[in-house]
Amino acid sequence: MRNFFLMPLIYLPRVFFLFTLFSIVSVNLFAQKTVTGTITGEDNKPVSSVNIKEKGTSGGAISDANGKYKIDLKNSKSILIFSAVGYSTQEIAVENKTVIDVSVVIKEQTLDEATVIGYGSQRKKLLTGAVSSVTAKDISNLPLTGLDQALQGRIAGVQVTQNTGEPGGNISVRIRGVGSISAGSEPLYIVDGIPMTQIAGGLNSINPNDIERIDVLKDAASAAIYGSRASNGVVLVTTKHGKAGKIALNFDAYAGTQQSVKKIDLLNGPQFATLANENLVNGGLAPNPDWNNPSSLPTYDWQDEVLGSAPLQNYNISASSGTDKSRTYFSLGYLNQDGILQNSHYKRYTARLNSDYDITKRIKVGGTFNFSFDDKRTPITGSSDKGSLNNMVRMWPVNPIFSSIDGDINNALYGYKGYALVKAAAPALYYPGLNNVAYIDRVHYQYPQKSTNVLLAVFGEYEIIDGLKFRTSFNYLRNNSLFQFSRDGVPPAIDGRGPLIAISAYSETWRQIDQYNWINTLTYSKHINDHNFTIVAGTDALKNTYRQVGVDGSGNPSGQYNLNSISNLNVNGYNESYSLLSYIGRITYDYKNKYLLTANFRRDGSTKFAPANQYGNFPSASIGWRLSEEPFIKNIKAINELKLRGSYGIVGNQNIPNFKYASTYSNNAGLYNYVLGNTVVPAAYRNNIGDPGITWEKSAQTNFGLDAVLFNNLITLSADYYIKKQSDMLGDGPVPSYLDAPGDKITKNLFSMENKGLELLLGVIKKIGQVNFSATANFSTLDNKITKLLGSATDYISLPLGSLQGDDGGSQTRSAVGERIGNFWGYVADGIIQDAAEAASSGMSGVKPGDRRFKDLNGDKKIDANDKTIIGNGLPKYIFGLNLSATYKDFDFSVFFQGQAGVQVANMFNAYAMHIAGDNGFINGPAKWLNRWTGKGTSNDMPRNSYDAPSSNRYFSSAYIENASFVRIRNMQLGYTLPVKLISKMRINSLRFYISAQNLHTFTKYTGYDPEVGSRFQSNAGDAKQASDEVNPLSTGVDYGRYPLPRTILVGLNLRF
Amino acid sequence: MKKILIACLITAAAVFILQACKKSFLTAEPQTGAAFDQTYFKSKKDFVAFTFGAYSELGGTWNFAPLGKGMQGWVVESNIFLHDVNQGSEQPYDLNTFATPTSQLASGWTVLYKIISRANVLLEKLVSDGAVLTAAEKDFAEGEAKFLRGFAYYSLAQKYGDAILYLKSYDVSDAEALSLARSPEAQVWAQAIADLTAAAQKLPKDWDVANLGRATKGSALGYLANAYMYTKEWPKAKQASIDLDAVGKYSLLPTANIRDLFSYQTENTAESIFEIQYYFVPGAKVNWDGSPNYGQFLNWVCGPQGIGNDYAVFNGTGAVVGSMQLANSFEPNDVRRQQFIKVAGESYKGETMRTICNIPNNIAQNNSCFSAKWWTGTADNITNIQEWWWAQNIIAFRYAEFLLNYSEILFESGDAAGAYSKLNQVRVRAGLAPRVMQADRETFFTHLMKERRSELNFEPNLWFHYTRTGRAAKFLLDEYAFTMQTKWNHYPVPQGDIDLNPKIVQNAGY
Repeated sequence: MRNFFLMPLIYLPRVFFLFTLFSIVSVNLFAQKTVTGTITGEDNKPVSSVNIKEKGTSGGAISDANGKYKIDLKNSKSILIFSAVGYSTQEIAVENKTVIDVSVVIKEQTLDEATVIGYGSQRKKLLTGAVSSVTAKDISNLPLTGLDQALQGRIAGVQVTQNTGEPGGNISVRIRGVGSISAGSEPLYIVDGIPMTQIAGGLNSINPNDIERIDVLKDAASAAIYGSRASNGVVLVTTKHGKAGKIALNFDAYAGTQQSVKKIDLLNGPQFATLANENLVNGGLAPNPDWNNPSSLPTYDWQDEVLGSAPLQNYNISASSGTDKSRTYFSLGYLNQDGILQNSHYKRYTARLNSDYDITKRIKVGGTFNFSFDDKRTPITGSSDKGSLNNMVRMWPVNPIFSSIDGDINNALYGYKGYALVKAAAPALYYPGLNNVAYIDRVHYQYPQKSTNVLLAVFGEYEIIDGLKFRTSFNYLRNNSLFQFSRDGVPPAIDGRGPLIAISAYSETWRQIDQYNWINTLTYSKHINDHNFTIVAGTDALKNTYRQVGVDGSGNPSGQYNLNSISNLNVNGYNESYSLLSYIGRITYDYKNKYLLTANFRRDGSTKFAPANQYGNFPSASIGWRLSEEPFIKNIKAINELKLRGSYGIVGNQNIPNFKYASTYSNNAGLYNYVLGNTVVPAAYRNNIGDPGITWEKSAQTNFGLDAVLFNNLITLSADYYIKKQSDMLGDGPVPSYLDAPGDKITKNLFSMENKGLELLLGVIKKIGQVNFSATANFSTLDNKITKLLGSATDYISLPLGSLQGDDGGSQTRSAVGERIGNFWGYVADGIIQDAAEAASSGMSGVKPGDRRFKDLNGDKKIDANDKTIIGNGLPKYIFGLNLSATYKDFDFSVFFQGQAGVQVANMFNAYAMHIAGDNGFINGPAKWLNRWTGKGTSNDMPRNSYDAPSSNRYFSSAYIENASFVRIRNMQLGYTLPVKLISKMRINSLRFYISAQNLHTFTKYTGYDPEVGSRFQSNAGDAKQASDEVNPLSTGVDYGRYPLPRTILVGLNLRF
Repeated sequence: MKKILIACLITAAAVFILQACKKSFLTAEPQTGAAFDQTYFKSKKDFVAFTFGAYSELGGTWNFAPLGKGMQGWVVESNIFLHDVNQGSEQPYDLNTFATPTSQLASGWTVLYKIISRANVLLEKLVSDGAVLTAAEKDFAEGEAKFLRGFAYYSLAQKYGDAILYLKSYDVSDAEALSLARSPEAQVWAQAIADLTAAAQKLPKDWDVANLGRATKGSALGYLANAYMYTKEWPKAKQASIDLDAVGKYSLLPTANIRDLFSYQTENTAESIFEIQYYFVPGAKVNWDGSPNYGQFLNWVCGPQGIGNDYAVFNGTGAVVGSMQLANSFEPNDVRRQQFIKVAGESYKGETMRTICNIPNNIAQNNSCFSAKWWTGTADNITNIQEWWWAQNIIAFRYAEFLLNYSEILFESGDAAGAYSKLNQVRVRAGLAPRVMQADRETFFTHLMKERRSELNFEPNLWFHYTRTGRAAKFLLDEYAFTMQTKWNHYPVPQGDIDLNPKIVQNAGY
């Protein structure tokens, strides 16, 4: 039965083989010097750019657009080698054939592909560490705007979160959970051997179209070769290189539109006015006479004015060519993406040139050059008081957004530059907030930034004797960025509310990062009988310099982004550097490709630590056993490949600010001052008291893995279980305030943490009739626990979440020993107090019927801070992705799901909904206020609507916490490739059109704009330093009005010449 | 074989090059924003900047403000009032705050120790790296360091009583520093007196115009006299007062110019003995951590709420207002009442004061007075008052207060006539008739405390004159029917420090 079911699968390749054989046999039997043929793929379409080489000679040919080739042979009894990117290499003996038609097989499941592992590569089947890959074929047809999108949802154990949906916005990548509390959790990115700096946005310089493959080193055994920077995993990006053959020209383009996915249901004008007046009256105050007749009031939809649709377009052109002696890849890219939030955009221009030269058989040189320029602008989002989205939902729906009048409109409004703004003279009680449209559009707070990135990597390789290669490579990276900030002045008559400030201001900050990196390695490979060795030894030196100059001032004419007419200039500078000097070693050994062993060692010296403490050693070892090579398994037909892996290693994290170990004095005149008379004079102070004993954060990681290919390549399975124990994590040790340590703390190696998880990857490829179907699914669990803070079992770290209007200011996360990092800490909401008796027994003072009740957890009949508990966590326990694709004749279809579960969001964005009467006047609220408590039994969810409602109605509690699990259709795509018949006349190789939808739908219960909140990242802080700051792992999953991800519908084409 | 040799040579070369540069390669100097401990003090400029680093802790945005870290003794008249009306509310600036060791009261401790710590560093560095200074520069630097440390220990003894005596710069090797106990108050006074005495000998009588605001010989002598007043060493207190007068640069401003004491335009007057310097930089960034800390928030917190931006920053918060008891306590024709206290219905700089606020939690203001010492209204506005901070200096100690203290010192030294002559200088300046000398102790103190209340309301030291002389309880009871708790004589020590160092014992009652 089983065999019957599997029969088609088992026999299919054999039939295929016979077919191929038939093609080969059906030839002229006379020996000739020339061979011709047609090369086709599995779909019987011609395949171009296949290299055909006569084995042992330098002669070669390349198949043309119609898959045809012609090769002149030097020997009559040659063997022809057919090779092409993405296809398995085949060798076919010519014998006396003159026509050899070949059907090439896509290198889909082959475990023979070379996986990049850092300072070298290894065949996938021989890998012993936990390495996962994304290759060009996974992503080449997808309209990606950034490298992060190539990773998202595709690799088990890798969580990619867009911390903001703004174009070109910040992302977090977490490999196997949060790796550190204070030293950063982002992985190390190595692009073509160049370690990227940890500055936000640096990866934006890589055009995703240029990516050949991404290999993610997840466990310590793989990552230890990167030592002190590897504890959060390593992402190795390899870009496309030229291939020998005729020029292959690719043109890819897509364009489309992005839309805001969701609108929050808010009160309309009449509803708002009714409820606001009710609020005043219930609080014993007079109603606002302007709202006497609510039904006559208009409704202005502020969401519509702020969030809209925005175009997106992307063009890439690349050329690849080469001979067997030199190869080149050249590409140009242009991305122009507007944001769905008004006045935000991202533009990127990229250019890449990758060249390889084989000078002699033994000497190879080459280089990669990448240039990018990006231009980004976005209003503030994700900030508690200035966020565009926060303000947008709070705006009075009865107030107009625009005004054609310049000057007074009525008592409360003022026409200014086409906008209706609020006048200061308006009573504070009726304060309707800032005109958010004006705010994000023209009048206030613009943060444009422009960035130029140059990457240059050159290498030379010399094969001294067979198997012994010396390679030296020099990498250089430069980032130049300009951060600007501009704020318009407004007339004093309308000023004075919130951050509106009368005086205009302007600042610009120039940042330059230089990094050079020199790597020398000696690699020796040797096969002695069935023993295979590869030994790598080398050195790696890296120096990174950061320099920044900022100028700010005020009094600039409105809208001018230059320093010419600015007064009150203030200049500040910032400049520092760090270096790493490392020694690396690796031994890879296998016996008969069956018993596998890899050992890595790295010794790192870093300027981040005191001279006596600069060096650290990072060893690792891993073993593998390919059971499928054992006779007792080899005979089981259902098992094509079966490997068990185990590894252990120690890696480090050194990503802390420089000179934390030293006692230092601030001497930055721009930052710290005193005044004498009316003159500002520079002041200095001790800005750090260092512990010279501090050292690397260490992460000891154990990994068990299994890889299998089953049922004649039908199923690919990979499973890993890991335990990561982070110790010596850098944390702030508190010292008594009388010692004047800055911030009353000294950085020491204090904390410990543990991450555990299971990762599963399952792939299925099947051909059903004419449909080629494939599915890849991944699923991971993330289990995090803090095991030590200062030493006591009851230690915890609190992080205030900031008081957004609507909470009592007590909102916080608490990361306690024995618990997950970043737990939300607050009261447990317990419905609404329905009557006086319930109020009396609530344990809360000052509450009346209609107010919110909290659970008395300790049973002391009193609600106080002791009743706070863990009410949620923003780190998902489960992440998963599913990619389904199918091709039928000329059509291809794919859909990609991605999601997370076991995760909550603290909806601070919605916290404003907890009252209509805000701290500074009235604010609009969600439509659910219509269901407010108005008497016993009317609501057990929304409290009463009254001006005198107690602040306890707004305490940070489980009422703020929402389930943020989601499944998102990240991408859905339908493509059509023009039939060969049609295009062959057009001298093109292939032409494919597609329509694609991104973020098509998100299945979630979350009521905010988007459940994918990520870690707090206040976009465009206007300060280069701040913009480069890592997101804070202690505040993951807190929604401050994050820029939502748009839904994108686009059409594209892939053209191959 | 030859190739293996090449391989070895290349490897050797690579390793050699790396080794050769290894030493310098892994050396990094903090280039901006920081200098290593061993290399910072290289010139006069560095010493001076570091001295200003200590001063700046005095002057922070909040540090000297009533809502802030210093929690000076000047808000007593307003606090009680707010407390009285707003029962049950938790106004952070409420005298009720004394009941629990809140960060507001406790954090003054932290600020004062920052000053001490910086003075300690400065004194050590003067020994190790002072060779770059001339003898006079060294004297001045030592004088300023000792004045600042003396002032800080004086303030600690005054506000907290017992305090930790720590006289060196801290680094992590000093494990003992983490478990120091508080020294008795008498020792703290002794330290303050020693430092202020030394400072008085080293400091110059005057600084040039460019250095206005730095501590002088007079500043040191003024606080020295005050310290002796606390320790009741009356002869020494008298001598210090004589010495201060002998400096010869201090006098009361004329009656007609009394308004100049609290004005942005007229600062560092002849009446100022020690003045915290503030400055408004138009358009400068607001920085919530207090740096750059050029301005203070008093105009904002003392402005009546809802008065409008034209009169107070951000409409005013009305957070610190005065009681009507204070407004009504002045004698008729007291210039200080006319100039510095405003109640509803009165005119101030062309504006009639109204009871503006109808916001429930500020009903206090419906029946209160405003201090025009800090809320200065339109006339003193410079451009862009809409920024949050205010540029007016805060006089920490002025000649009028010195004269009233001198009066007390002379009375305690048995010179009642002298005491009244000093007291009357202040009265006459306020447009009042001089008092006739009374030898009776209680009568004298009634007169003296009355004068202090009229002269020093909303200034940093008034409350401590009540606690120091043991008159706080009676004052609160008589004026406000409010029962004083003994523990209010001292502030609470920050709980955070006690948690980290259990040897620190909290003040009784907290």
